[in-house]
Amino acid sequence: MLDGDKNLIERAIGGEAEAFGQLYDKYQSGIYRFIYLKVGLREEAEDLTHQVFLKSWQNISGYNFKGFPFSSWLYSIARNQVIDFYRLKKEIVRIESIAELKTENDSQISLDKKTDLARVKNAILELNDEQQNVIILRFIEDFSISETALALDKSESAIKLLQHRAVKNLKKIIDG
Amino acid sequence: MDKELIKILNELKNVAPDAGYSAKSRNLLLAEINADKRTAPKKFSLADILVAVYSRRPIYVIAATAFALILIVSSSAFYMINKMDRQDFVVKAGEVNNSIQVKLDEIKYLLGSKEIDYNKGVVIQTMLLEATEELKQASEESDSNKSLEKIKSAQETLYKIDALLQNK
Repeated sequence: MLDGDKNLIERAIGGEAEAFGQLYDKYQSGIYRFIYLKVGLREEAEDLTHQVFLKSWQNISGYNFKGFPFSSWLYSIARNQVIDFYRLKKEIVRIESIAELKTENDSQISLDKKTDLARVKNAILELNDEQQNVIILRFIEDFSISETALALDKSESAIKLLQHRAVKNLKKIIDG
Repeated sequence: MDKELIKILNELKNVAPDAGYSAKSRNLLLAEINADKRTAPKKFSLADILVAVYSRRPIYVIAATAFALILIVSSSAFYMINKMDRQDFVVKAGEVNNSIQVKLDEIKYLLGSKEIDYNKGVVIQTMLLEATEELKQASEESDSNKSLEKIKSAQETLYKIDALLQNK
């Protein structure tokens, strides 16, 4: 846990809105990315990301500092939010085009590169829930094995095994 | 692991939300936090809130009614949990209350993020008032089963509102 985070969380628990705003600024992109790559729809990902932060605010007083990073706590809320999303939606229609894949350096990315990104993004969507989580947290969010284990509530050895399978499946899907 | 695949996965780090959305969502969250702080110690009065905003645009009435509902949900669940001595009712009331809270959060978010036309606004307003009335009656009902039925009915109404807002 970073000292800066601890300070912000304590201030947020004390009701300081701006402190929570700073936590939002710090983690919102990662949470959005995590949800977007699991849901595949921009608007749904935006709504779900908002809900994650709303829930984290409502429950922040219950957050425990000991041994559990704030980011892991947020990702566990996001995971549950995505599970609820899939449980409540009867049918997901993904009609997003490559143009929908928004990146920070959008104007500098070639169409070929965008096509590759969309291909990998779609392949991630075909993985099962646990394998998606591991691929996103380990290779996109750069979580360590131990951070991933905490965020996904699994042992480190389970994460290593999951990662091995997830990578193998992802390559298989991409290679068609 | 394939280097090309790692490279592409790394590129996905740049997937980002729309800046306009981020700013709007942040503002809504902070407004919610500040509203929580202002209202937390106050006693709820549905009539006061409705009278205060009724002469304004329908969207304010809807938002205020949704806000009033949240306060009612909190107080009615508290009432039920304290009134009922049978464990199963407590569990049921708690479950329904949690579900209503989640739905209300969604409705509040959708109300703040979408343009609503006048006719739809009037329908939503009526349904919110209906749900408010059901929850009010639930908190006044002495029969626990009837009280729970009314809470569930309010929950159904909120799901309908949510569906309307999401154009389902």
